[in-house]
Amino acid sequence: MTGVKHEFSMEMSCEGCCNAAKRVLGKIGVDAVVTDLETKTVTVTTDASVEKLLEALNKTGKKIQYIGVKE
Amino acid sequence: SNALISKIHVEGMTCQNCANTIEAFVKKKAGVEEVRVSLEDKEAFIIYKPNMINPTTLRDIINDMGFDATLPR
Repeated sequence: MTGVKHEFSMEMSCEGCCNAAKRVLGKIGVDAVVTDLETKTVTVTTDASVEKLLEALNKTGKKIQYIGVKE
Repeated sequence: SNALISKIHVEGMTCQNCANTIEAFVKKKAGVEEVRVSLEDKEAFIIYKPNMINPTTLRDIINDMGFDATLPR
C-alpha cells in the first residue's frame, strides 16, 4: 500500500458519525479508514490529496480539522 | 410562499446527534425552509421551495453526508 496516512480531527459522538465518515471516504475510494471515537480522529491511508479528503469529509456537516501526515 | 414538503427515508443514523447534524446541515441549503429528522422513523421531513431546490438534490445532499437516503417510491 503506497498510500500516505493523513490524520483529521472530526466532531463525532457515536458510531453513526464514524460510519458516515467511512462511507463518505469510501465514495472517493481510499485504501483504509480508521476512526477513533475517544480521540475523535479519522486516519485515512490514501494517495488522494488532502483537499479532496477535506472536500469529502466536509460534506458530513461535521467540523473537520486536518492534523497532518501520520508516520 | 408555495413551499412543498419532501419526505426522505434515511438509513444509517444511530443517535440523535446524527439527526441533529442532518437538520442543521440541510437547513442551510438555499431554498430549504424547515427540516425535521425523526431518528425513530428514519425519516427526514423537509419544507422547501420547489423553484430553488428539489427532492432529488435533497436526497443527494444527505447521501453525500454519509447516510443512505432514498425517496419514497
